Amino acid sequence: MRLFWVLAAFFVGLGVVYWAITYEWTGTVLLVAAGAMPLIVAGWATHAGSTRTSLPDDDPEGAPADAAGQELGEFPEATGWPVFIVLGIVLTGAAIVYGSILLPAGVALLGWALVGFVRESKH
Amino acid sequence: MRRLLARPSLGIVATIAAVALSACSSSFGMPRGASEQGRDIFDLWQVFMITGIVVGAIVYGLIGWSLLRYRRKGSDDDEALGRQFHGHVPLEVIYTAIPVVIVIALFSMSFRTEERVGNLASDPVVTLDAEAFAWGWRFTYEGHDVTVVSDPSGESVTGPEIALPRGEIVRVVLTSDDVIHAFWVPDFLFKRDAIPGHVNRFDITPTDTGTYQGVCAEFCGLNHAYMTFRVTVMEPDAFDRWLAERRGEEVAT
Amino acid sequence: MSTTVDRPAAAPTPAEPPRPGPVSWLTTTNHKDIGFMYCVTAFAFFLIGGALADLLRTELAEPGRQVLSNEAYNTTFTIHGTVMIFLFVAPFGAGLGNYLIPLQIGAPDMAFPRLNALSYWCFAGGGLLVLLSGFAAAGGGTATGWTAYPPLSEGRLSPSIATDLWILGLALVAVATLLTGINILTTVFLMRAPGMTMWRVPIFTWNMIVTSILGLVAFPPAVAAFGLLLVDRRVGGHAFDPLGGGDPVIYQHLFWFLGHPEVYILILPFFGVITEIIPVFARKPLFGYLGFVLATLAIGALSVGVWAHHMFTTGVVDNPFFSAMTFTIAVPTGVKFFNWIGTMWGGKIRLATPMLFSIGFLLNFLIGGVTGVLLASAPIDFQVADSYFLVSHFHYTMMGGAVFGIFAAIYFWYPKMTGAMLRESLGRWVFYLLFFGFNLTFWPQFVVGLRGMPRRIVDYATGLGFDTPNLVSTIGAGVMTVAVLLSLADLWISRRRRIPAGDDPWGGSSLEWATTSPPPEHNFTTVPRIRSARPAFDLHHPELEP
Repeated sequence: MRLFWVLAAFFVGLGVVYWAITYEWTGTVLLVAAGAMPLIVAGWATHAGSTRTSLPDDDPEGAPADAAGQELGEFPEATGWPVFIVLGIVLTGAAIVYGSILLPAGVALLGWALVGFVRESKH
Repeated sequence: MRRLLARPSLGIVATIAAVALSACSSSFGMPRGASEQGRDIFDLWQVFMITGIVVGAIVYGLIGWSLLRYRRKGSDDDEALGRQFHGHVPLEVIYTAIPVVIVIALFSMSFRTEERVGNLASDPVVTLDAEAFAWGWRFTYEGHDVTVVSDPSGESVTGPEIALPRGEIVRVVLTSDDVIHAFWVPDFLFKRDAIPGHVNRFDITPTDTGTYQGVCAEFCGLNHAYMTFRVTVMEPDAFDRWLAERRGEEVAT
Repeated sequence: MSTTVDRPAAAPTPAEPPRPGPVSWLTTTNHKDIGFMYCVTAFAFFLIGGALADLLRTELAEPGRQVLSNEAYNTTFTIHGTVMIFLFVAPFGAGLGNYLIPLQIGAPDMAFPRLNALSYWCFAGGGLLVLLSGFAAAGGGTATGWTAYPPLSEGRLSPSIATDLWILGLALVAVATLLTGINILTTVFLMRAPGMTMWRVPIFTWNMIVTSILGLVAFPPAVAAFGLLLVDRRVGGHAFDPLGGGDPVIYQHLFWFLGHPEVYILILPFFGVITEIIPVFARKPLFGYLGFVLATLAIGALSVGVWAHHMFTTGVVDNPFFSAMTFTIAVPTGVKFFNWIGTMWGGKIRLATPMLFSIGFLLNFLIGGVTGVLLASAPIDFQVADSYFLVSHFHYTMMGGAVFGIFAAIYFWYPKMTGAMLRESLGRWVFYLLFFGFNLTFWPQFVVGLRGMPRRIVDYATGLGFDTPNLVSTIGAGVMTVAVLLSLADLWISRRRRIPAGDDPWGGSSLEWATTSPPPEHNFTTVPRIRSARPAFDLHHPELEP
C-alpha cells in the first residue's frame, strides 16, 4: 500500500538527514531501522496486491449484496490457551527473578500452552 | 470624554492595549535572569509566552464564540441539524500556512539564543569544576586550590556555598561520579546534566549580585531532593578575597 | 471450535443465545468482550495510579516529610507513572479500538481473534508483574522513575529484583501492544464492508491505524533497551555502564525513541474519540475529513523524529535538529484544532456529557500543546526541563487531554456497549468537578516549576515560594478524587437501574450506531448501504442523500 512506501521513504530519508547533520550513530540506526517495518509491509502488500482483484470494500458503490455469501473466515468461539500462555510466561518470569524452583514448572506450562494454542489453529 | 466612553469598541481597544503593554513587561512567572545567558533566555521566553497567549486567546475565543452562538436553543426541535458543510479548502490552507510561518520564526529565534547561550568563550576568568555525586557536590576552583564540598553527614540545609564574580565569564566543567545528576540554578535559567563518562562545559556570566538556590535536577536516587547548593554572586574584588580566605582548604558546608 | 461466518446479506438471522457465566471471560475471543475487558482492567489501573498520585500529593502538600519515607516516595512515583502510561491510557485506547473498529468498518470481528485474546492476557499478566515490582518485591519496590535511566537502574545501585520484574512486566505489555497493532492494521485493511473505502473510514479508526503503526515502529527499540538493561543488571553486561566502556546516553536514545511516539500512542485514540463526538453533538458533518487524516499521518510520522527533545539538557545531542522537528508537530496539531472548531461552527450544539468532556479536552489540551511549543525551544528547556513545569505540561496533555477523552468515550459509548444510559445529571457533576479539580491541581505546578522546583523530589525547603501552590495543588487532587468516585457511582447506579438506550441514543454518524445496543455477536444482522463517512446518519436521514 502506498502509505507504507511513503512511511518507509520518510523514515529512511529522515535518517539520512539526521546523519548528515549530526553524525550520531544511535539515532541514525534507529531511524533507518524504523523504515524497515513499513518496508516489510509495503513489500508484502505490493506482492500480494499484484495477484488480487479489487475488493468490494474499496468500491465506493459497493453494496452489501456484492459480498453476500463471501466467506470471511473462521471465527473461533472460545479458547483457554491464551490464559495459560500468559500464566506460563508470568511463572517463568517470576521464577527467573524470585527463585529457580518454579522455573521448570513455568517453562513446562508455557510450552504446553503454546503447543495447544498452535494446534488449535490447525483444524 | 463622554464621547469616548460612549463608544464601546474604543474602550475595548484601549483595554486590550493596556493589557498588552503590561504583558510585554511581565515575566510570566519566570525569573528575569541573573546572568547574561539567563537574560537572553528570558527575552526569548517573553516572546514565546506572548505568542502563546495570543494564539491561545484566539483559539479560546473561537471555541467560546461557537459555544455561545451555535448552541442549540430551546426553540429547536430534537431533530434540528446544523449547516451541513464539509470543509473549506482555502481556509484550511491558510490555517496550515500561518502556523508554519510562526513556527519557523520561533525556531529561528530559539536557535540564535541557543548559539549564544551555549557559546564557550576562549578566555574564562574562573574555571569551576563541579563534580556531582550521590548525594552532594564537590566544587573546585581550578588554579586557586579551593574546594567546597557537601557536608558528608547530609545535615546541611543549604549544601555547599560557592561564590562567583559579577560581570566575569565563569566556565563550569560538570562531571558525575556515579549516576546522572543535573546542575540547575533557576535564577540563571540554566541547567545541564552531569552524566558519568561525559564532561559538560558551559559558561555563566553573572550580572546581578545576590544569593541563589541551586538544586540537582535529575532523579538520582534516595536523597535526590536534598542535593542542594548555594551560589553567591559578588563583586570581583570581593570574590578575590573570598577565594584568598579559603586558599588551600577543602570546605565542607 | 469455530464458526464460519459469511457476510450478512439481506435476511436477518435469529437472535444470539445469551453467553454463559464468568468462565467465558477467561476464554472469549470476541472483540467486544475483549475490548470491554481491556477498558475495565485499564480503568482499575487508573484507580490504582490515582491512589498513588493522591499519596504523592499528600506528601507534597507541605514542606517537611509527613507521610512517606524517601524509598516509598520514589517507588510511588515510579509506579504511578508506569501504571498511568502503560497500564491505563494506552490499554484503554487499545480496548476502545478493539471494541469499535470492527463495528465502525462493518466487520464481524477482528482479523485474529485468538491473538486478540492473547494480547489482552499479556497486558493483564504484564500489569500484574509491574504491580508486584512496586509492592511485593523483597528488597524494596523499584524506584528508578518510569524512565529507569541507568546508571541508577543498573544492578549496583538498584539491586532489588523489583526492577527486573518491572522490566519483564513491561516487556509483556509491549508484546500485547505489538500483537494488537498487527491485528488492527490487518482488520482495517482487509475486512471493511462493501462501500467502506479508506476515505469513508471514521477518523477514530484512522487514528487507531496511525497509533498501531507507531506502536510497531517504536516499541522494539525500547524492548531492546530494557533487554540490555536486564543483561547489564543480571548477566554482567556493561552496555550503559561507563566504567565498563558503555554509555548511559545510548539508553536514553533507545528509550525515548519509544518514549516520544508513546505519548502520541496515548493521545491519538482520544483525538479520534473527540473527532467522533463533536460532529454528533454539533449535528453537522466533520469539517475537513481529509485534513484530519493528513494531520494524523503527519503527527505520527513526525513523532518518530523528535525523541531527543527529552535530552536537550544532556549536552550530547544535536538540539537544533530535534527542536526544529518538534516545532513542526505544532502545525498538524493546530490544523486539528481549527478543524474541530470548524465542526462546531454553524452547528446546533447540544452540551450533553460526552460533548462537555470533549470541550474540556480542547480547553486543556490547548494549554498542554502551547506549553509543548515552549518546551520545543532548547534554551527555554534549559530552565524548565525536569521541573514541575514539565510535569504540568505532560499532565495537561495526558490527563487534561487523554483522560478527558477517556471519560468522553465512556459517556458516549457506554450506551452502545451495555444498552443502558449513564446519568446525565451525575455526568455533568463529574465533568465540572474533574475540570475544576484538574486545573486547580496542575496550574500551580507551572508556577512552582518556573520558580525552580525540580521534579521527583520527596520534599522541598520552605521560603522558596513552593509552599502555597503545592497546597493548592493537593486540594485540587482531592477534588479530582471526588469526581472520579462520583463517576464510579454513576457507573454503579446505571447498572442497577437501567435506562434503556436503544440503537442510537445520540444520533450518531458511524456504523456502530446502525446496529443494536449491545450489538449481536457478529455485530450486524444487516450491514447498511455505505455511501459516505456517515453511514448511520445517512440511514436515518435519507432526505439528505449524499
